[in-house]
Amino acid sequence: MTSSTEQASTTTRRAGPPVLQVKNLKTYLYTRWGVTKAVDGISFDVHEGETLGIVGESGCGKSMTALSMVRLTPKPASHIVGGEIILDGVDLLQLSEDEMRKFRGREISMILQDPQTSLNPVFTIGNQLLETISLHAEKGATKRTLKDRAISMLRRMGVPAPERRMEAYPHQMSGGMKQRVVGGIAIESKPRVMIADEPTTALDVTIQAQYLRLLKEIQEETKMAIVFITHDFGVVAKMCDRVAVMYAGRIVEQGTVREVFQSPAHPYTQALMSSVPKMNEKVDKLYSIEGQPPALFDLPVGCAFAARCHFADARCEAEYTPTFAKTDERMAACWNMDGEWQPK
Amino acid sequence: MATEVGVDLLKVDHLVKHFPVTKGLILQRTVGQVRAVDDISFSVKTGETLALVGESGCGKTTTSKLVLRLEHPTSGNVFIDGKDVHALKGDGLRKYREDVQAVFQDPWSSLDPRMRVRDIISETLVVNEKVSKREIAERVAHLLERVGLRPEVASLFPHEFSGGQRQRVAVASALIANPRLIVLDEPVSALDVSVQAQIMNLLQDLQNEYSVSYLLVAHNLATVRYLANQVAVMYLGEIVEYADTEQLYKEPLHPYTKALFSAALPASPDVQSEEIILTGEVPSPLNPPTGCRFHSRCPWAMDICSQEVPVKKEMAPQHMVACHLY
Repeated sequence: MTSSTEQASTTTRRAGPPVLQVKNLKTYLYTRWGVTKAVDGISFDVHEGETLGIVGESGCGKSMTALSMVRLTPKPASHIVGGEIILDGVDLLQLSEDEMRKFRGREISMILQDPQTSLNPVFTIGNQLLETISLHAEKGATKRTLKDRAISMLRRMGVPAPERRMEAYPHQMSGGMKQRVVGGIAIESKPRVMIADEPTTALDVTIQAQYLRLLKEIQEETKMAIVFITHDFGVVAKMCDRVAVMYAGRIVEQGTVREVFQSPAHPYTQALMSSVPKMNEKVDKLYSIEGQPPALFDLPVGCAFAARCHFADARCEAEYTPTFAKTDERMAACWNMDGEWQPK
Repeated sequence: MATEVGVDLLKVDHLVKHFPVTKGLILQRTVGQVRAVDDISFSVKTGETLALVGESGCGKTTTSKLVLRLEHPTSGNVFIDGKDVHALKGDGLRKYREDVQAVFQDPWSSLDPRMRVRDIISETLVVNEKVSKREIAERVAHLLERVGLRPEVASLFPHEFSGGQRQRVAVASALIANPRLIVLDEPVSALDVSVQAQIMNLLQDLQNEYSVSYLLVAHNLATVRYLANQVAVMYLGEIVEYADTEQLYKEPLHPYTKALFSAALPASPDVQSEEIILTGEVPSPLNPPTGCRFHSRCPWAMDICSQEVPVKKEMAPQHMVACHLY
């Protein structure tokens, strides 16, 4: 595909209202050491058939963002203290636990990093598939039809010999196959939004390539929106239409993958991208960001990246950084943006 | 150090490691062999880095364990400076244990949580040499500074550090006895992107400074390109391609290497690489395919591939490949 058709398809895709809209989401953890602002006022949206990547290093809040969207943040330590998560016009944060259960897994579902822990080791693959399928099935469906549905789903996910795999236990399958089963369970109810939290991190590279292609095919068929959480810029470049970069609980930059990769605006994105070793060139010395991300329970008043930033001045350290926008889709939270960027 | 750069330090010669699969509790019968490493040979020169690349289960970690003397080979030899590692005894063995060190993937499990950093780093020295306490303290302080930590942290425990800092401690403890070879088993893959670059730069600097050799076990091809002089690509216990890094990245020959390169995603939406998506998974090393072990997944497989084991051919100087296509 050439870049112009790609761009065009992104625009048409984004014409309608977004499927999922997250506005000013705040998830805090209340710990012995203080209040940890794991997610501190983030906003983004995803459209039908679109993939949004959320990238960041460990502890930046990307997994807490994922868990917040299905309201499964660890209890009792964490609370979603503010914001809205609007899925097809319904604010998920206003629902009761019972109402939420109807959405979870049906309208919005999730794939986690480690397929080993997302499947129950003492039940067969068939048991676990049928559990989900029968929950979502119409009344009066026979066992036979449910089983056929499970088998065809395994076949769709590219699991070889699906009839036999129904009787297998998770430990008898490889990581890649297990992740296919988990993916199958997640898409079974034809969700509007799928949240994929590092789904390929535990897989080998050639298996990762297979899995990413499979996810894209399924997305084209079902038009679901995907929120793809990862730390790997290669996966973002391959999978996503747009990307949000997180640092210390905030989104520091957002835009289309092409824009962000070609001209990263935020100093953190710039630094992170230049510290990734490249496959296609040999460098003598890698760029490296000195220091470490700040502790989330002791965030500075100003920009959380200021201490590691080459461009930081007194204002960066003293004042909370607002988000600046260039277009509707292009945002960055940094004081040092030029005139094209307006406070949002 | 007085060692000459460019001489073979580590030589692995027709190394084989099979693990027996047994059945029965008391009268154990061997019912099969997991052929983890099957006849591999390579060498590492002083001051240089060789990378073993491959997916999980390809035998790269078993190879590194054989070099570290943590496993005993079924057949074949590992030589350091011409001495057979697995036949060492007494002083020779003691010398080996100073000369060869390791840094592992996960700095959360490789450092003893109940030991202070000072004791972790100096352990090799205390066990192997008669060194005064003062000298130990001096060398620990010097090394801590060299790996980018403050000397005062010597009295802290591992849990007080972040992942990157712990990996620095692990590197310092590998360096204290002036080793000649360090086995790096996925040294950065557990770390964050911004910290990976710090540790990779550190490893590079230390190699230049101490002319230590590295045997790098890794799956990330970008990491390998940055650190390694030579690369051996492994598949199901065999080396399928072996070349100088620049040569290999310029022109990968083996279909498996090509697939690995195609699957390694470039961090840019504009780089379009040839897309080779392999079907299926790595077969079980219990019962590897006949002929070329890769033929069951190879997009270019021919009839001969399932029948005959391909011989290694030298396609260019220092570029070996085992494939019937060439």
